[in-house]
Amino acid sequence: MDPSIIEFIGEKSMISIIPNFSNEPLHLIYGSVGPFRAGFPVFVPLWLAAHLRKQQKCRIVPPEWMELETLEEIKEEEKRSKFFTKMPCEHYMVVAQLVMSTAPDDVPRCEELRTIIKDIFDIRESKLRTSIDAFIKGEGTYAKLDNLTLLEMHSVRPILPYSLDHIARYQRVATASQRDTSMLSLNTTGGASGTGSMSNSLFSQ
Amino acid sequence: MMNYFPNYYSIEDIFVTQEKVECKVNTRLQRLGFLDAGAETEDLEPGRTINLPLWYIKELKVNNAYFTIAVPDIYKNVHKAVCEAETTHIELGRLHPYFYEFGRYLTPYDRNHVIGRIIFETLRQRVRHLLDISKNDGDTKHEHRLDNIESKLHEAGVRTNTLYINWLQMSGNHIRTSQLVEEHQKKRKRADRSDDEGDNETDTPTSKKRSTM
Amino acid sequence: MSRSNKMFGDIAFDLLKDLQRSSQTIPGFDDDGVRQVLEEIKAIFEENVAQASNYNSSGDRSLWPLLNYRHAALQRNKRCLLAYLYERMQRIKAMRWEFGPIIPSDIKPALCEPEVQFFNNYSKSLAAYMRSVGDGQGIDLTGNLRPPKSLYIEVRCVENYGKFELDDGEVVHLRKNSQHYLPRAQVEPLVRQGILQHIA
Repeated sequence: MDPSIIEFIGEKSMISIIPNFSNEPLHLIYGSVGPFRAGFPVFVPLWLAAHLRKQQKCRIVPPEWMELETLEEIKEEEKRSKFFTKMPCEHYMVVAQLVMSTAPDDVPRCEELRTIIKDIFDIRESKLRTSIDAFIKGEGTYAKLDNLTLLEMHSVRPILPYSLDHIARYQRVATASQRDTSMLSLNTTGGASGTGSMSNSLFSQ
Repeated sequence: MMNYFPNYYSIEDIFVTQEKVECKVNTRLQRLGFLDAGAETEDLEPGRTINLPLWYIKELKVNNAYFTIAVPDIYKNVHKAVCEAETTHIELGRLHPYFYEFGRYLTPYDRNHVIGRIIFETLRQRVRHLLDISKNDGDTKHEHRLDNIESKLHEAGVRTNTLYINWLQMSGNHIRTSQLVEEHQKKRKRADRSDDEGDNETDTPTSKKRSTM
Repeated sequence: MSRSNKMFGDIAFDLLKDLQRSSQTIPGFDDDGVRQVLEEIKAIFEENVAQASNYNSSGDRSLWPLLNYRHAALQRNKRCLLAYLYERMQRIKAMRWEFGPIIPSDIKPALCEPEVQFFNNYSKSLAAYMRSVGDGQGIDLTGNLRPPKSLYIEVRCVENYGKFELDDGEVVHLRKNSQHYLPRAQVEPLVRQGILQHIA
């Protein structure tokens, strides 16, 4: 999926804004937002927040987690844990990207935050690739990955499912042709490459 | 880009099945002498070694009486690397442009039953490497390192990564020129430049009423 | 077949090789190549029929391997030929989505008559379908391929296009390097066709 579509999905998340105008509630296809009272916070979908902010009609209140100390903790936890930790928001990358690009002035220490969020994403992404490798080389037939966000899943699509398709095709060929496995003792490949023991633990059942 | 599942219309698969395989002739085959470039006889003589296209071989029974199929050494040669899980450095594309698919076709003819296992294990071991190079050096060409299947996977990975990077730079939502149009324009410009009589601008204000629907 | 450097099926394979290697959007339809393949198929078929009927009456199996080989070659030719037509058809379909309903004049000569007809019919079906969906209002499925961000966009002209009339009757002059702020939905096709460049 194109990241712009993931962004579109993520833009439905609600975020707090402080409008500088007053208005009746807006009745939109998916529901109503408002009423708006100048100076009082109100929750609106992210796309609307960005739109109003561009027209200088509001200030965006960054979500609680968009704060240096919290993110430092998340980053350390992500480094420590061999599993994927739960992110404070399913669309943390999209929210961060949109809020920080449309309203950098509304976010204290914006540049530092940008870097640390990117770090968290990179740590998780490389963890994902390591787990995939362990899974493919291991003997498991399925894997369950908790707490991955949509954008992260799409960092390995479609290359991962395509690769698995090919591997499955060749596995069928191999098993069909192979009556005796004595020629190649490859059942321990996982162990030989040093990842076998890890594979099962990363992929909790 | 679509995933690759060889079907009847698949040009890739037609390319793979065009590959030649070495065969030994087991018995005199009448009027098939034309298959043997080095022979002047009308019949194909037993004991000769000839190269036959895979599209013919795959129609033969594995234990047919006419030919014995010689499995190429490339698969035996990577055997050790596969066992030691040291396959990432192998220049697969250099060994054979269709390493996996060619191997897949030859699997039934391999009396040692290793080719199937070898292609399966090789890809299994190299996926991590493919994921890494798609992420980290998308621009470098890997023509010798990767076989055809791997190049396709690599392309898919590079594409995902490019889209992600464009998105980070906030240009993901821009409307872009269609890929075909872009390629077409580049070629037209190249053709224009190579035109000797290329006097002034030949910017043809093409048909003005380009309707949408 | 006499002993030449060409084997059965090689001409058919060359059709596909040329199609893959060509740097053009779609190379010219190879009338001559297609005809040669059809002739080869016919020749193989006739020889095989003659020998097969001979086998039926005499029961002599000594030509069996030859028959077998030639039959495989016939099937191979057929497959290459169909794949050639099929791949071209896929590209022609893609052209409809990328270039719009008119085939660029320098590409048109590359298509054979049935292919031009196919393009036109495909284009018509697509247009009819697009008109029929969306509560009778119609939806342009070739537009908004990414979620739109705003109603208007900033564009720069890449070439001299001339007058362009907007839905509300306003006429803009699209001159090379001029910049305009225009309704996204109406100028998207021009951006896709490389006449305008989306800048913001």
